[in-house]
Amino acid sequence: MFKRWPGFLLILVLLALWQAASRNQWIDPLTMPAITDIFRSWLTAARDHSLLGDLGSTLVRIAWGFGLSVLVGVPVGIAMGSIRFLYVLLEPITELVRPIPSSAYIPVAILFLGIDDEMKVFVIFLASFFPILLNTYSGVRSVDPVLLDTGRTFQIAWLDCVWSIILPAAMPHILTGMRISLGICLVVSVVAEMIAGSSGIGYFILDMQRTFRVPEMFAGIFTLGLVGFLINFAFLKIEHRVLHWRGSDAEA
Amino acid sequence: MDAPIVDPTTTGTIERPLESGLIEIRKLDKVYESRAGRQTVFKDLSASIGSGEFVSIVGPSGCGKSTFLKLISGLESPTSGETAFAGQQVTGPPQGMIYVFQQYSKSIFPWKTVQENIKFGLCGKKGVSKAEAEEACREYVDILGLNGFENYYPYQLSGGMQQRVCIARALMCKPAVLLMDEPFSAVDAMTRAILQELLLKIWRTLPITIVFVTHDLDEAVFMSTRIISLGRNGAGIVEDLEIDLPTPRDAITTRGDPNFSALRQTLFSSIFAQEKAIAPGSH
Repeated sequence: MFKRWPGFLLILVLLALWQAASRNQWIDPLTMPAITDIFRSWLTAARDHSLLGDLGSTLVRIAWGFGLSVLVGVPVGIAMGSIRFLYVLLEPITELVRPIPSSAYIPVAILFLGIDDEMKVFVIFLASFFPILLNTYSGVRSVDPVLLDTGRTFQIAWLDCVWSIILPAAMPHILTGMRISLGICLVVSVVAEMIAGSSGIGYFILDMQRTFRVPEMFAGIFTLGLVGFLINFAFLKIEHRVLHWRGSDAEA
Repeated sequence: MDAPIVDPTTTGTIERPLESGLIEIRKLDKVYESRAGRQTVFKDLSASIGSGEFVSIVGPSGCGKSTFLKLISGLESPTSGETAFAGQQVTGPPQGMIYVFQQYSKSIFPWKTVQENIKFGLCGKKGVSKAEAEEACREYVDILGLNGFENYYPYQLSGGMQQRVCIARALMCKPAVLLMDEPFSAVDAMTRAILQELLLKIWRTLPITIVFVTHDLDEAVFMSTRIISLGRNGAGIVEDLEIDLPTPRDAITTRGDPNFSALRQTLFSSIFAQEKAIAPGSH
């Protein structure tokens, strides 16, 4: 983390540039307020709980949508990867639904589920499901046949084989799929909140824009970036812990 | 069910009555169909391996040594014919027989420590208490020279160590037969010599039959009581030699025995001739 100081330095330099551009009127300060103003409005919004409240509701939706997609996606992925017939059955429909951008099925979801949390969780679930499914499936298919034959020569029952050999062997792929999905969850939640929301950080950002509270709007956007970074960072740590058996040279 | 006692004074091919061996191979056919055509690996192959033998399978490249082992193990099925183990037809990997792979780094479980790997074979087996499993694991760690490495992960082990773990893992199940597919071909010569001695010691002390595929004739003659040499394209068993070198085999003196070279020569010339027969520009 700390070895990456050049990257953090770049961010600071860009922020300083932004500050200068705004204060010296190189850019219209109404549309791009100074960093210090953004920071001040961030503090205010945090103190009177509006930003944090919205952030909270976004995170809860993501937790539900992501959790459900893992609960459904991983077993289905394992089943599709190990049972040829299931793969043949489900692959065409997967490839038809997957490329549809999540924002495109928000209108459909609104028709069926209204504009409340159920709709948003469903859309998040759908968007987050496919990377998990595909990565799990791919992980299962790439388990070395020698590992599978090893299970067979020890006369391990099929279910035991899935639990004690296939699942751990495919875990790197599964966790990658989950990490990609987490990122998508954040994006889709924000979009859903912008289109049909009354709470959440996406709604917050749009609301600030509509009421011309530009510094607050940017504060919301920066918060989003920070939250995304922290979620990804935390997940990477979890991944590192679970996959400690790979050793450090697998980190490259 | 036991094979006839081997007379150490006889040499050469031995006629073995079928229906008596621990492992029976009966009229085995194995054909691979592909876009390139039909490839016959075995045609009407029959053989018998008795309890307690150490049989090496040798032959030119592509003669189907690994396929032969896989068919015995039940990991692959024959096109026709059958293999039997302890009187029962083999339709899938039977209990009492464990296959040890050539690619040890792909067979070992990277997410388990050395002792977790070794205990894998006994996991969930009824009637084995945790204490018994611990005890047996300690025993095999000792026999295989893995002391001190019990909590290491495979990525921290050398190739030779990983193969020892795979062997210990197989032995934990107390199999009657160990099927080994070129287990030492991917380690360096010194490690190979040490592992050969170790395997012979295990074979002498435990009631175990070993079927051992190798391309190394020195290794085959040194280790085995019997060598089966397979031919290409359905030629079947080209040689079936009894190896009557003195036991216990020793890395230094056995290789100095005059019979050692004679046996090795017989095999070498036979296999070499087969290799040359389809080598380009050999006619």
